[in-house]
Amino acid sequence: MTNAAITTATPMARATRLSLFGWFAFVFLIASQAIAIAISPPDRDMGDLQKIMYVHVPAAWMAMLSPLAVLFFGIRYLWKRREEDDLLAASSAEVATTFAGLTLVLGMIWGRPTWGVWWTWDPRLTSTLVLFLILAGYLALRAFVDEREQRAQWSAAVGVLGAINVPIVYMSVRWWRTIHQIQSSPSTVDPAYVIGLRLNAFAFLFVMIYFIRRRYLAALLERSAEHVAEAAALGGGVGRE
Amino acid sequence: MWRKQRPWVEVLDVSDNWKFVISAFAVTWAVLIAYFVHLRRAHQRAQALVDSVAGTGRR
Amino acid sequence: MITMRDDWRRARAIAWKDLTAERRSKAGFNAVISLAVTILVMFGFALGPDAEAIRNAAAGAIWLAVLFSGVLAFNRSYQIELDGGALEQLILYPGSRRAIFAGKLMANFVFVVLMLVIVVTVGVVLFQVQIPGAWPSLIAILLLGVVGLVTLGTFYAAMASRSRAREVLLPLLLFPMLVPVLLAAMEATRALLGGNAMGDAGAWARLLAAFDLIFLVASFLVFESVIEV
Repeated sequence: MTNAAITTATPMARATRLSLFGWFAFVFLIASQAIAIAISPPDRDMGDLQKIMYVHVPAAWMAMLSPLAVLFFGIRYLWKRREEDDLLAASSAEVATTFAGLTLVLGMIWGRPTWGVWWTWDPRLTSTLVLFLILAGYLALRAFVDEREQRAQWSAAVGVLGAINVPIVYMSVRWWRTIHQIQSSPSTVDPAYVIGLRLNAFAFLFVMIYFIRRRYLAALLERSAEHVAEAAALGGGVGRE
Repeated sequence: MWRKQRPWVEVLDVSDNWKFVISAFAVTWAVLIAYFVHLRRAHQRAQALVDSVAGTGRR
Repeated sequence: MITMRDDWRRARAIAWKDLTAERRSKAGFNAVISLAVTILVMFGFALGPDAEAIRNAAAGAIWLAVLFSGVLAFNRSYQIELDGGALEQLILYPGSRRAIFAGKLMANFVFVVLMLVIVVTVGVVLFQVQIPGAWPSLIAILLLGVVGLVTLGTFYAAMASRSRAREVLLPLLLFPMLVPVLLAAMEATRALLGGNAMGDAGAWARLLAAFDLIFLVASFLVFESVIEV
């Protein structure tokens, strides 16, 4: 990865394209939420609480999707050892943490009036919580390891194992609850709500992609600056011995 | 529209529901905007780093 | 040419070295064991003194006591090399780095099994648990649980022990990863200690074995990237 590739003209065009995409995602999200709220009738049991589904479910889906990105880029890094993959994985992890945290809070806001409690050990909510903790560990690892190659390889290792653990956690928690004979929450969505849900799911997807790209570009910039500084420190200037 | 019977749903005071719906959307936007601000700051910091290094890195 | 047998021999050598070092300075093992028992007692205070509540919680308390003290053992298992700067040397030896993992894993396994024996003994007494008729199955479950615990513990300690905040980083990384293994181990143990009326223990045991396999394979595959850098 040469410095020239980062510090010449392309970043400008890239940044503008990204900003446009960001605006598009933002507008799309507002529109999706407005449409979904407007066209959905109240649920028979939950009443208007159903509308929370339009933020909670897409957030949950993104919280599940972004760790897959961490897994993908982590594996690619272990395979090819390119810095970009490490930065992409880290950016995805940061975004994943945000969505996981959001999912948890929204889950609690939905749960309180629906179930009467702020928390149940529901398999999906619980595995989201464990996912959040795994991501927190990932970010902590990156914070406490200073050596670049070490950090990249260890992050990839932790990210890959962490990502494959999430479905395993989900399975074990579900089995746990079944053994103790606890009812599961419904997973079917009434057809009347599907359109609103799909719209919002795409909106969240665009936002997530935008966030990851944005985070990645910042990381790239930072890395290119470090490269230049290192080259200078090694005496790469003109007229130096 | 129909719904399956779900006996675990407690019937709570329906007038409270709007509070929760509003909070949900408010929290969502708060988090998304807060993270966006965090991203922008990260970008600015990185840009500042590039600028400072570009000044001294090349002779 | 490096053969599987060389690897195996190397792994055994490393395990033997670690265990011997541990045996020479008993202080380490004694301290960790004392900690485990202390934690068990603390759980007793937290959950008791009602006999029913305590008996129900015994399985969980035992495993958590082993877990919390185990993290110390895992970090320590790399300490010997770290102190002497020997880790780089160990990696330079020809042959698979996986032998290092296997060797440390085996040493940790022995260590934690010994710990578990003592903790279970104390736990059975403190928590007023009846030894079940199916105690061979109980032993099998305990061993399976230790395999999972030690696999992930050895894996993550390879990184945490060499980082800046090892005391907090190892638990932070390890505990969420251990949720499936611990859940299965605790539930199977609880079922067996409670007489296994529902026959759940078998299902959990199979799940536990599956988890162990998955994590063993995954850790082995990825360990090289962790230790070489």
